[in-house]
Amino acid sequence: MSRTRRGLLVVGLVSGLGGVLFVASPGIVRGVSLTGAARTAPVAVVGVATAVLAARSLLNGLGDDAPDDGEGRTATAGAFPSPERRPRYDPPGTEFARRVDAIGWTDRRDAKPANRRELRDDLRDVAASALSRADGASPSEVETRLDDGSWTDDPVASAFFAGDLVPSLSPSGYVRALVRGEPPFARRARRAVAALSKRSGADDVTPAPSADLRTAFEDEPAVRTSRYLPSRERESTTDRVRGVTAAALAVGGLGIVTLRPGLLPLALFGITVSGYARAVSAPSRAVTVERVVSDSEPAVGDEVEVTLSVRNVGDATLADLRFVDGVPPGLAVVDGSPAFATALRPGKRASVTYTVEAVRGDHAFDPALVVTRDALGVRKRETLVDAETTVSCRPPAKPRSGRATARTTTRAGRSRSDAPGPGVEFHSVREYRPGDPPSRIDWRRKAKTGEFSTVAFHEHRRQRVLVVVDARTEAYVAWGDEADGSGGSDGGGDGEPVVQRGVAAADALVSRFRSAGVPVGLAALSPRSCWHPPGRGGDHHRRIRETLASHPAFGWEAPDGEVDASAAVHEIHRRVRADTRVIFVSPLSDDASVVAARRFDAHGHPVSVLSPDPTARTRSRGYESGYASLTRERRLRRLRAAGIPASDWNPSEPLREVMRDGRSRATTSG
Amino acid sequence: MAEAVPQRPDSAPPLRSSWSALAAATGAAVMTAVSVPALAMGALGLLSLAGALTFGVESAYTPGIALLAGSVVLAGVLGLTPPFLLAAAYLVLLAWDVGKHGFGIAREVGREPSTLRIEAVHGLSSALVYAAGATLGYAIYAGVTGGRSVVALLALLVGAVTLLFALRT
Repeated sequence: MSRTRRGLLVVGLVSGLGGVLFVASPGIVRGVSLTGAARTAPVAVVGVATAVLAARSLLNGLGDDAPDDGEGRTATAGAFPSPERRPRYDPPGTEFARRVDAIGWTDRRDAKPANRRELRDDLRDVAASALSRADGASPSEVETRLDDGSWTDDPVASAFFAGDLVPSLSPSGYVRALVRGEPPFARRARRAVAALSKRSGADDVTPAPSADLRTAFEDEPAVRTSRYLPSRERESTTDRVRGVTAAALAVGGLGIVTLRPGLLPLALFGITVSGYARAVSAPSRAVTVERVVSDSEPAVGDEVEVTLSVRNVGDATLADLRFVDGVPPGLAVVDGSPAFATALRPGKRASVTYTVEAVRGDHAFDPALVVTRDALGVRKRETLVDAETTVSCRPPAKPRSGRATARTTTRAGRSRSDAPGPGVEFHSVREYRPGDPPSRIDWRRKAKTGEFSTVAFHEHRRQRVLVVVDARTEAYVAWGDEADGSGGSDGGGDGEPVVQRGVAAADALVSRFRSAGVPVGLAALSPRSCWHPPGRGGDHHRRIRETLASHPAFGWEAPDGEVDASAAVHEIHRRVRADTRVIFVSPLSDDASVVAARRFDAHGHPVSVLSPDPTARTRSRGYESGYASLTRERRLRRLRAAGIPASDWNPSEPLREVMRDGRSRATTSG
Repeated sequence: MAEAVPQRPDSAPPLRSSWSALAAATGAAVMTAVSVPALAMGALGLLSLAGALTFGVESAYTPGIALLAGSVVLAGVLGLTPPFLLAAAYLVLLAWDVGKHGFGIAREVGREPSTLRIEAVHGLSSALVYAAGATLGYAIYAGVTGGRSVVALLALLVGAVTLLFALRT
């Protein structure tokens, strides 16, 4: 305790005791009669001093209203954990919607608003590609139509390409735009996308943003318990105490200055609360948490009941105990709530039960967040309590017909290579060299000419296949009808990331190749590196399926980092044989995915692309979804133009359909 | 009463907390209605609280409480007797505490789980602690008015304030 503080303590004690004494026996001070300045001066001084103290206390409170946790503000991820929701995946086209949203009124002041020009240039490219495909018109014709606006009936949409970047408005038009709350340029962009979608055959695209997009813009992202409290434990005192103290002191000071003794006792509230806050000890953390799941290995789509019980193992009552379970990111709570609040006497137990829906993958629970407070809620302690539970949900390995498994031999594969060697299909004839097998000597020729010559055939090699799953952050877009989760969403999806469909497809592909006896490997295009070289056999296959289910690269949370597609492709190329066939599973949600596919092609790998379509949905398609479809179709066309077969797959349909006629569809719709 | 407000936002405090806070605030507003300005301030504060609790806007809650506290101070300056003043301040404090606690529950626990226990424990404890403060205030007021000694009052106040700052952690 510092010297000034000790001095303050002494003064306070003496003055307080004196006051009590004076109150108890007023006779002592009866002799002291203050008059004039001697009477008013101490009152004024104390009043002003109290007011100053109150102000200082209040200012301090405003200065650092964030709870002090010793690690600065980065220690908290902001909002309180809300693990009952899945991490939010942006619906396709959100990036574009953000750009449209960023068109502001203030752009008008720029001579050449760059973001408007870029938006229009991009959309013009898309429009040119879509229109030339829809009408079969030449590029120059399309350009003319875009310029004169004859490509659509919608005057607002045609004005997007034909009009100015900064439309000049009549006063009434300006008022109308203000009422709508949106710059006319952004409105035109939305209408243009809707009109283009209609021209490309998508009649269900509306110019308005979809409900999912609005949710994506408004909703706070879900926060995991481990992210909320990286330091695992934190203690804080609410600033309510400071507020009450300052307000009470201020009122007391006012009472002294205005000579209203009635206001003085109000200062006592501040003293009581402040005294309580000092006297009360930090709430106990003596709790144990136990988590029980009804089924730790459920099938996909099963409902799993999770029961979390908390027991007070300390010897003090927990007046205010709140806890939030660390639901893993992939599991959505379908019934009940993973949060709970109660008061708990020593030795007692409280529990909460909620239901999650199982989806594929290994889901390790985050630690539960336990928040304890004293009775008045002045001091709070947040603790992460571990209770390790993992729900592992694997789709069943598809039993294959006996015919297919019987073909799993060590014999050569079906792919014909250009290399001369043994085989059945004629390749070339050359001079005999010592060591050539006698069976390949052309004996007829020997009989005719007397010279030895050797016949070479096309050598059959086992083709190796590498399944590459696009699991970059950009691929984590939502598919299906997210909406509010109610109502029958027969199309599936429910806002799952489309990457999960890609992973399921990879799983099916791997099983298929395995049963065909083709060596198959797995790689992820992701900041979280994942690699299985092509191989064969049951163990290898099991390992790959294990990886698909449990590797973080295929998890439910989008990875944080960026990945350079070209470099990643080069890295994969270095690890496999040059003739390895690559099957690239990607939603094609950005241009980098096209770059990746073409890089595989450039490295000499036979590439095919399987693309789950995140824009395939059953209702409420907004303009952003229309834009995503248009650009994605353009990417598919670019791939096919480069000779890369690309299959478009609506993820709500079974994959088998695509795989059966995938080749024919990919080549015919080029 | 839940039927009266069928769709409350998720950020709105539980109904029990909301009604208790509002009841306490109404009591305070009634007690301080000694003049038109004080009445107006109290009514405005009450309106702000009701809005904040109904629509779950926490940022509108503190200004409402500040208005109510202002009406208490105004009533004190205008000469409301200390017992009433203490009671009104007590109610404002209680309304603030219960309301803020309710907002915290809405933020951290949500609407679905039952929060009756922590609401009850917190409400009762707050009521008790603040009642202790009010009683202390009233005891000093009664003692001082009995002895008519401003010096005693001053000495007590100085003692309390300095102790407060000396014990600051």
